[in-house]
Amino acid sequence: MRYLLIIIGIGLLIASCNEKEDERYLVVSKVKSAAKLATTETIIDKVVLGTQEKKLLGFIKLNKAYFAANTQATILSGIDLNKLTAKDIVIDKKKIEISLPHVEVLNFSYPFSTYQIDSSVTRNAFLNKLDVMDHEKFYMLAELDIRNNLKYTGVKQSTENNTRLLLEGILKNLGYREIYITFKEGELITPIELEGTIEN
Amino acid sequence: MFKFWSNIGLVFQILIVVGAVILLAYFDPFGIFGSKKQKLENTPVDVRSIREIGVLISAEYYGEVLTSLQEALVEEIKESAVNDSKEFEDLKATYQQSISDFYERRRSIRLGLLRRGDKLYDLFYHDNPILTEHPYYQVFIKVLMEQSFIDKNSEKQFLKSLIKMKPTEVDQLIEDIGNVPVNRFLVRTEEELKIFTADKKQRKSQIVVLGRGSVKAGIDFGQFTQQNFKYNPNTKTIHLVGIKPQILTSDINPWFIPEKQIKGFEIVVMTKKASKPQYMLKVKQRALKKLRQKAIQANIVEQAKKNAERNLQSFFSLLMPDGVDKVVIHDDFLSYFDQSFVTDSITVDVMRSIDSLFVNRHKSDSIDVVGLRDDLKKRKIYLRNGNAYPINRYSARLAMVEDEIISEGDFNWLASEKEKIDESITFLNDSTMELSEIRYLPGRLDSIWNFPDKATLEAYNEEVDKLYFAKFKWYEVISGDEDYLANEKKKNLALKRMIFLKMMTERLINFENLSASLKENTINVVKGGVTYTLDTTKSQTVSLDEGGHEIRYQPDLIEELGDLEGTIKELIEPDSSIIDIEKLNYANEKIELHWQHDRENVEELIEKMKLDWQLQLADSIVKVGRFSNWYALMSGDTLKKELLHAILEERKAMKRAETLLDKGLGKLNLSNIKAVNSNLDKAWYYPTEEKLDEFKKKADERTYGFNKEKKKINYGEVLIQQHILDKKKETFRKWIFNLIEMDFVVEKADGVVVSKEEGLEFIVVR
Repeated sequence: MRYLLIIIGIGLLIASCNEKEDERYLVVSKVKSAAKLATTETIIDKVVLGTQEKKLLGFIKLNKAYFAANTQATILSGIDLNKLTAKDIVIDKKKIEISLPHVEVLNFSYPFSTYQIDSSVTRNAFLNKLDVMDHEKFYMLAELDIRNNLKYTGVKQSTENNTRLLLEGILKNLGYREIYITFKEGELITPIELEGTIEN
Repeated sequence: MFKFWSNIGLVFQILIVVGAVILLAYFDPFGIFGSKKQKLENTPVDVRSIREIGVLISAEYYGEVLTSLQEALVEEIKESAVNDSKEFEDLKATYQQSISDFYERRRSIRLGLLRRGDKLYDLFYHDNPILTEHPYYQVFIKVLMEQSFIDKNSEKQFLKSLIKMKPTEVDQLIEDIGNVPVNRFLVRTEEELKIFTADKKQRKSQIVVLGRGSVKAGIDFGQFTQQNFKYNPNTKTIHLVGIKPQILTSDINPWFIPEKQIKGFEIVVMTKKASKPQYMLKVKQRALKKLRQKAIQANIVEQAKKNAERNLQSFFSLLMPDGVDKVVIHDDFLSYFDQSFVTDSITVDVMRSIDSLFVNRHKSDSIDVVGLRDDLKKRKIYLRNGNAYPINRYSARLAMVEDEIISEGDFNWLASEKEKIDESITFLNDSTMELSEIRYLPGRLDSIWNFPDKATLEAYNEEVDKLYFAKFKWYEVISGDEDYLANEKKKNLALKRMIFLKMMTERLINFENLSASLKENTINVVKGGVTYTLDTTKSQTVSLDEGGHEIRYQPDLIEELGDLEGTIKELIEPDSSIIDIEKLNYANEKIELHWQHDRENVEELIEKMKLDWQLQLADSIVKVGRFSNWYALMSGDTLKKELLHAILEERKAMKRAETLLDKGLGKLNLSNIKAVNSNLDKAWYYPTEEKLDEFKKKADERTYGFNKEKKKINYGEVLIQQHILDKKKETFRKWIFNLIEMDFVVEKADGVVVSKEEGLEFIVVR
């Protein structure tokens, strides 16, 4: 009986050590001013295909559960007009040269309303059940995957073209006949390196 | 056996440990017995579409909301209650109408049915399938029974008693039903809520989530065109018209700030029973809705408008060397016009937009439209030349005055507009005509600009009342005397006629003002593909009288035609009136071309030709007449085959003209009448002023039926054309007689010459 108590005691000790420090984030709810000109809307399909491995005592591999869902993300990209200054514009009668801020993702939307779990692939295993929290983790991983792969989708080029077209239209209407538009260098979206596991 | 029993304690301990390990492994509250590791397989990021948009995000709201499954489900029930309220309101209105209709048709129901409640019930259900098959109908009836509107026994009894009620009782009943508050019908929802909140199972299924996300608002330029952009250089103000700042996106993503690992959905509590995707979805939907509401409460849309105005002002100031002082966003054109009148002038373009806006908005927003119209009527429209004009129904047409050109299209419009107005006024003045027969009733724009004001309407009402009701005694009015009721219909028609007449008369005044402005300002007129330029030194006028409407004024034929007076001078030898055949043909060409546009000049020329001109032939000189050009088709004493052909063609034309005139006389159709004679014939034989007066008198004396004025004008035209044809026939006959008296031979076909007799026979027979 004494051994039993010792085992339970050690278990509780480990469990208490395992408890992560409570991190609270302060979100200040407020309306902020912005001047973002979105010229391109990109819709992206992403199949979320994930596995969940269960190990007993951390090293004995038990089994795998599978998760699959079809999802969709919508990205608005364009330029931040607040970054445009007088130095970036040179006007000479009917000629105008503009160096526009770099194109960037202005809104990333990965709406839960588009998630559709594929029940033909999704399946639980013995002692390894995928619950709602596990689903959430897969969506998080998928979002990161979309964000990190955006630079390979041609969104930047399309956004630059569309922004150029829009600005040319405006400038022609304002009476300019010679229009030169360039873009500054910059990242479309900040890449994210996620180390370790996602905590609940 | 004894040994086993002595070790039972140990066995028991082992079993407890194994059981604890299994339980801990299953529930794994500390994550030590079994760890779960999620791995995302590599799947492609497929770009479904990339499309061009134009959106300005000018306000962003980042916020956090706490929500639970319980809250989401309660809200769901409440939302359905809101929908139910609308359903019951509709149901109530339909029921009131159905009861009223059913009561009205009681006289047509057979006596046998009236005595049997069940048959009436069947009839009511048969008559009102949409109402009675409504899913809430029975609940609705149940509530009405509880409220004692319906006989407590049954709906059948109620219908039976309804038929026997007096009209006033039925009206009262319908009114009372209308006053039943909708929440009386929402029993179902209240019950549902009670059951739900008392349910222990429900209380154990709980999810509590902290949702963090963003709401972004701004302007969507998707439907933006040049029309929406107005720049006033005087005030350095840009007006963006017809665009509404709106919420563009609202999102709670899996990640709120991925760089800092801040999640979008932080699950605070989740009981095992609630761990289902469909529940989580409800909580997420609720969280997003709450976030959106919070953003709206924080005035994100208003803020977006202010920010957009400020940011766009900075942006355009950078792009425009003169700078932009202000950018104003107007929700719609109405607000733009309303606000911009203070600082901006009203242009023809603006008037055009206003008219189309008025027509579109009048149905739904007549008070605002009328308010703006009254405001406009007090102002003036300024054209580019600085002239000011009062604003009315035709202000948008002042573009014709502004560009100083009357185009072909303008002409057609002016003629058809005048015809419409004249026809309508003639018709409306004739009280014997049915209103349904009128072709051109006043349109929406007439109603907006010229609808009588309240005082005028009251005066009209009084007038028609006197006309139609003065003779009736009070008891005839109360008892609904048949004559009285018939007169009420007549009165309404008479009132309508007066209103229409008022609108069309004002339209005519506006039109005449527009015509007067055109007379004053037009420099160029385009007609028949020819441009005429104003020359004020000339006294002649062009009478463009399609549709009976004379518009203008002193033209000088230019470009392809050259100057008519100059042409005349060229045609006449300096000291002599003797011309050759080429000049005669040239003169005839000019006459034909100019007749429609410069009648006075042409008439003068014709007079000269008739009186003074002489045609130089090979061996003689002859006087000039309508068919003198045929001398060109004679060679010595030989008549060329072309002359025979010309004579025959002329005869055919005259026969055709006779037929058309007969038809025209019957139908008095202007298009038939006008096609009768060529311009050359008209120029040569147009009636004198005295003759015209005589025709006018004849036309006035004639009796007409429907559309009297128009038919009178057309009949006058028939007389004119008949006169022209008769004169022409007379000249033709004389020419043929002259021909007969001459000695000649006829060249009939290629080189074949026949005698005079044979040639004449050929002409006469053919």
